[in-house]
Amino acid sequence: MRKFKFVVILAVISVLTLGIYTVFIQLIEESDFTVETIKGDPKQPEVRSVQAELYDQGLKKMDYTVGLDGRVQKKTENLISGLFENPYEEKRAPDDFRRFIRSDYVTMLKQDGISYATGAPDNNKWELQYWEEGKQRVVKKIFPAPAEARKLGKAEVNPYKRIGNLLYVTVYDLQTEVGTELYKIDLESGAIKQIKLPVTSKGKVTEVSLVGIDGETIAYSTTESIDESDATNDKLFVSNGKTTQRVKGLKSFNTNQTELSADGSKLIVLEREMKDFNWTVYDIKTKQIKKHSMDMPLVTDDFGLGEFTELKDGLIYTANRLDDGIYNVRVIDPITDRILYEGNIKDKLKREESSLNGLILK
Amino acid sequence: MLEVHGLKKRYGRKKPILEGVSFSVRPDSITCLIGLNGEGKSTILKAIMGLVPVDAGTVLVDGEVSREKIAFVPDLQTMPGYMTIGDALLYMSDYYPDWNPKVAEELMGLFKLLTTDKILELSKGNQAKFSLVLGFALDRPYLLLDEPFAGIDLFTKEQIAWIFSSHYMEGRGILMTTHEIVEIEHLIDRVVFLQDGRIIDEHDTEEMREVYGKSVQDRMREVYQR
Amino acid sequence: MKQYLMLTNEELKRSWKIIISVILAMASIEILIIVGRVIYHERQVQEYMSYAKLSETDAIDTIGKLSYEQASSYFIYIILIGVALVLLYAVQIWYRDWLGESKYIYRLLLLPGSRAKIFFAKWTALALVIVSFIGLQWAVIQLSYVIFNWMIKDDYRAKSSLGLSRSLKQLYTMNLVDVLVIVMLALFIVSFLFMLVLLERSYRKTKGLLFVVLEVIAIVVIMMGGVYIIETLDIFLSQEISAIMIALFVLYFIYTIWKSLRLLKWKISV
Repeated sequence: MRKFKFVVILAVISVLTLGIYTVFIQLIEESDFTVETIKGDPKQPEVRSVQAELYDQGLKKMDYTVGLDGRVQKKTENLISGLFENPYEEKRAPDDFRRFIRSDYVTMLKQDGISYATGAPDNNKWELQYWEEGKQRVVKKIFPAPAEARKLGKAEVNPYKRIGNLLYVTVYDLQTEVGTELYKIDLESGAIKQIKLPVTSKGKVTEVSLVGIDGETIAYSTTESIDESDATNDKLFVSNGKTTQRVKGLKSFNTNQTELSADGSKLIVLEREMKDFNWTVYDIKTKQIKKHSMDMPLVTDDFGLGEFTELKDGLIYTANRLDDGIYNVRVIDPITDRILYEGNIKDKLKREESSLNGLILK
Repeated sequence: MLEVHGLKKRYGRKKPILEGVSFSVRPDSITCLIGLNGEGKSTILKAIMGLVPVDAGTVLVDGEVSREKIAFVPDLQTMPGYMTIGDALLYMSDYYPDWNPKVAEELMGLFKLLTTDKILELSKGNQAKFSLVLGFALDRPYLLLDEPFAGIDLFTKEQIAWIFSSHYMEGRGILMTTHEIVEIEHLIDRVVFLQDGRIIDEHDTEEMREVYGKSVQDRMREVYQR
Repeated sequence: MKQYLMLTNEELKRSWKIIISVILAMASIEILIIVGRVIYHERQVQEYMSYAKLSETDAIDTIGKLSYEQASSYFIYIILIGVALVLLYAVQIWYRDWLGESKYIYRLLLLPGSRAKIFFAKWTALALVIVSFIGLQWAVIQLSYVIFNWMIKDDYRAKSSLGLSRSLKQLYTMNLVDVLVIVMLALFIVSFLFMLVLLERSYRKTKGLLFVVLEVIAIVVIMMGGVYIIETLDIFLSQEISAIMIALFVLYFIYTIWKSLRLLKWKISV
């Protein structure tokens, strides 16, 4: 014992103190989330793949993914697993697809379980790869760049939306940083056709953003600079392939929160600013504007967060933090004002440390 | 036999410290390495014990490359500063399977050293005696001593010198470096003269006295005053 | 094995007093910090009450309540001092064998058997000190939390559960894997320092320092060169990059130990 006294003492101290730490870790409370359905069926197609992302900011950092059917997934990270996690890299995709999307010139779209990646390595060709979740096969295509696109400087080809067998891509000139062109790629024949987006502007158009496509109907916005000032002017247009109309009468709109309705007949403009929850519906045919609003009992957390609202596929998905560790989730049809689904995610322990990251809408 | 073959050592581009030193130490004898200050005597002992690296050369002990048959008594203290003599003796018995506690006890009694004494608080003479205890109490056939008589009083020198003619010497081959030739000349069996990193002369002392009629001191003068 | 453990014990025995002193000093300072913060906060509220002629509740509302997180926010500085002392120990644990009235390095190098046990004894001593420090720091956090709750008035306290400041949360992530990673990183730094010391001790003066500088440059070149190559090639997925980085780290870690053992066996000089 004399020969090892100090080794033993330090070893015992190490084991005891780390033991205390281990026990402490085990005893830390973890949130216990349940979902209470107030209205609608969580299994309906618009709702069933929706998940709420909640994050525990307490001592033990934990990510919770809560499905509206009540299923809860917990995830915690350590320094080693953190090295191997990259949310931008499509963990489950085949390796060659993952390498493709790593390139600087490639951008991605995820729609209905399929990931589309496009890019222009040079002015003369476009590359497209897409992959369906759960499958190993990657479809790879290379197209000669269309004539109009070759005139651009360095082009960024972004997949926008797939409708049927057509993949709509927007092309942005990285050098001039002006304008956006729209093309549709026929995934079967490989034919690429440009869709003109006429703009009427007095000033210089600095940005063209797509708002929605439904068959022949295309909604897009333009941002133009006003003379020599820093001010800009945003305009919204709807084109049906033959005629283009400017949407007038909207106070303001945010391209990210503006969409075409599911049937393509209306434009929905969402405005969410903390407790103010409004949206405007513009009828493309009649040009009539109808304003809507809904009361939202939001209670923000210590960081001023607690709300997530998104307009997707013509529906408004919103999650809001209430008091007492409850998160209210609603799926709203913006045209009829009907609440398709409402549920409350409750933390039995009512822990203050949890916060809402957002909703995952697949 | 302890054999040293071709030891070479140099520091950078300077003059080499050792230039192919070869000699041997017979069992049951005392060999003395002689040279002026800075000739590399200490370096040879440390090189044999692997305490300094060499550029070339080998050391064989009874035909084997093994240092575990050699005990080394350096010219400074090697036990941690807080240790008492008792601590040091326990240390040696803990680490050395060939530690002989009986010999250690006898020598401690002979030298009148106490286990409770702190090593670094001992006089120089007692420190030297204690170092000898650590060397002689290891049951090893060869013993290296670096300046065992340096800086100690006459009486202590005599005590230490006595060891070299005692039964503790039985079967041992000793290699030592020293400047204090006069006191122990009668004990030395062989002398090896070192100069400029080379061995320039070596003799059996008995042969030197009887055949050439010279003492070691005489020969030293001849060699180093040339 | 037995000799290796005895040597480890010897290393710890030689530093025992300093280790205890540092632990007690750090713990005392940290507890004093908590006590001081609670008293200071209370005094602030009282002074504000009389200055602004407010009730205690209103004064607390203005100044704010005190949480354990806030009270312990200076702990990180004490911990950094502890880290610096450990790094110093990693260097001193070798140099003390050469410096001073006795040269213990002679004794170590003359011990029978392999010299690797000398290296691993010192390495293990550091490992035990590092792990103990991490564990003891947690114990002090718990103790100071109890003291905090006992001292502070209920109305003055911000939160009842234990919260840690952001810097402490980096160290105590409530994940044992992270403790292991931190200890491994610390031991890597220790091994690197050991190698530098042994390099310096194996070669004389300028040559020794030159080799030390070369090794430092080498590790910087390897790290930056690796990053540069990975970025230029631009073919690796992030998981592959992480795997490469971990592999390089492990290989270099092994190299530092291998090199140190080699120096100790063939090149070291008293």
